[in-house]
Amino acid sequence: MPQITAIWQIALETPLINIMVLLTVVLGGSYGLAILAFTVISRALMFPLTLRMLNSMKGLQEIQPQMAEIQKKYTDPKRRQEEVMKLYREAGVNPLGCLGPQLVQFPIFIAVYQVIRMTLGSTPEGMLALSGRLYDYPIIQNAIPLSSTWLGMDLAAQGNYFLVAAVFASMWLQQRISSSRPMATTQAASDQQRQMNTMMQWLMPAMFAWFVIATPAGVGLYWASSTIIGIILQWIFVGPGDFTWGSLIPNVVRERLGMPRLATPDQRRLASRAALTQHAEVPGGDRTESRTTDEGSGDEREDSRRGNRAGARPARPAPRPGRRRRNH
Amino acid sequence: MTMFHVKHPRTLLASVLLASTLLVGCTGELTPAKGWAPPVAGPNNTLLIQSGAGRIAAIKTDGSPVASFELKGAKTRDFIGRESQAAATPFYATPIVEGNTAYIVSYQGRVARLNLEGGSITERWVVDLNHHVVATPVLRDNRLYVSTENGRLAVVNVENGSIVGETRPTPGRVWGSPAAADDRVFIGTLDSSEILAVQAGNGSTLWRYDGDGATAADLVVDGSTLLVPSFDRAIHALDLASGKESWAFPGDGWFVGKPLVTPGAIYAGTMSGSLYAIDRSGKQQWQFHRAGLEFRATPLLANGTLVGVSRNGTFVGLDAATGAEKWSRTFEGVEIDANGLMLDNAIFFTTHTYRLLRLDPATGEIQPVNVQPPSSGN
Repeated sequence: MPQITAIWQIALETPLINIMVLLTVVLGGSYGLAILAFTVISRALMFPLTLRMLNSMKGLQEIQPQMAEIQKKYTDPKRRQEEVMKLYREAGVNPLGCLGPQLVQFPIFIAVYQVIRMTLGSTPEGMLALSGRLYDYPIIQNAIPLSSTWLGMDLAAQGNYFLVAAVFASMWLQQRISSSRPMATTQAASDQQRQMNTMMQWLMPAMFAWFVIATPAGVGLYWASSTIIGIILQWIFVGPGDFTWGSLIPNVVRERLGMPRLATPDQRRLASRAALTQHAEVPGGDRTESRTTDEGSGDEREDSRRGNRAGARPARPAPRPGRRRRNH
Repeated sequence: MTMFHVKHPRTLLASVLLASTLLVGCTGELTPAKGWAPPVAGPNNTLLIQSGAGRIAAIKTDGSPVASFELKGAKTRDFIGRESQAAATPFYATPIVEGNTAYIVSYQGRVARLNLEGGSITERWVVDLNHHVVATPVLRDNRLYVSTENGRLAVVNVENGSIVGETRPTPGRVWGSPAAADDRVFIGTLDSSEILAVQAGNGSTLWRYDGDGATAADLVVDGSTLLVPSFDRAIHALDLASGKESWAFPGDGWFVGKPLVTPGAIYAGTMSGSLYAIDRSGKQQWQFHRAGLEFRATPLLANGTLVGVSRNGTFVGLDAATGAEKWSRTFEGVEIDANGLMLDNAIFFTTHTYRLLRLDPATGEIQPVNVQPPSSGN
């Protein structure tokens, strides 16, 4: 165990501490800017992994019509599962492809959490412990202690509710965009999945918001900015799916503004299934997919890219360019 | 976290459990506040030691108990008016003992006057400063000058605990004990790298020295010179009257401990493993260095032997005249940030787990002192 701790410290924690101190010095002593810069750098370094994850998401999205066809065609669960796996193989899609980047992010997040706590020296002993972690360069050694104040926020203090709200809102939005994609499943599985997605949409942001309450505000700043970058990347590389900004307006406000009401979750589910089934039945059809989150509203956006591509796809997809086919 | 699309409840449950475990495992404090208040000599040949967070014990040098006292946390009210008592916090400030009276200041900013008469410890008064306090206060003319972590200097009347004056000469943290000379109080700042001279009577700033590094160490007045150990890896000597720098001695690391001033030399240690002897013009007499050691505590001089203690529990005895090593001992499994106390030809140290160690400065022999719990607390 001490060896693991030593490896963790030498390989990850200590370099990050020195990078953070150096960034603070370079950015005029602003620890907040250093955290933001570090977030951008870390996201850039993890971009290949993120891109892989986004490709997996995109691939899963693209084979939804074929998935719907399989769900409809096979009633035997075992056979259906085999067909689904076959479809994954042929399309070069790994449903667990999203997991790797998430796992990679966890150690970095924990390291950042520890680095922020250590570099800001929340206790006098913490400040002394920092001494042994700094590289022997005057620019780094003389930079301590770092100023924890940024834009009126104390980044070393706990319970910054602005950043708690930012973390919750950004994660909720990300989950909302992620779950705004039609998934082809059976009735029972669809209900279960919808419940899961609804739960995840609230559970994960709530869990991280709770965590941010109990940690230095700098951790919240890192997490909120990292999530926002993730949303931007997801939007660029995968697209927003069925998400529209207008769908964020609750029905109570819509009624007052004279806007059409949003579809209920059941309506959205039925519409989603109908759309996918329609695609599966008419593979060569060229149509614009009906909206599932904001039926009939003026906020609807033509998602011709997804609709056209999905509609034009054959029943069995050609392997995705650049992806390795397996089990042939 | 970019996206969670979970199709299976088991996967969801496992993910949440994994995330929760990782997160909850990280919510513990990396380096919790333990306090580095050193043992001090009490009345009737007793030792006053920090025996726990917020607890002070009076003991004999063999560890037998005399009395104990706990400075409880401040009472607070929540938003619906329920009263609760915060947990006791440790002591960083060195207790000040004057006859049968002791003044203690907790990390939470609670200042208390204790009565040590009759083999017991009783509380005379407690006053809350509502900010963390690390710096040892200065007692002068029945006034206690207490520096807080938000740069405030509170003046407490020791008779009744009332705050009779306060000023905020710096917005940043003050960790080192201020020094006093005549009617002036000198303050070193951690965040703004400044040294300030403040008029004790009215709190007005007399001069301000802008340094290159932070100051966490206690300041020392040596004649007409103020010695300022700094994070810029130097000890600065400032003129008391003007604040101008007379000389600066460059070391190899942070100077965090208070220097020991003797007629022959000034001794100081660094967090990079060096002990220095320098003369009063700032010239080095000798240097002892061992990689891996961190000297936070003030070195002590006992019969020509300079005793330095590293944070990792390594003690070294050096010839005070030459810096040659006489002995070296390591007491495993402890961390020592507190200064030592010389009493009865022995040096006493407390560790971060509130253990008491007794060191023979002649041989370097270390013995843990078994501090017995008192039969009844006060």
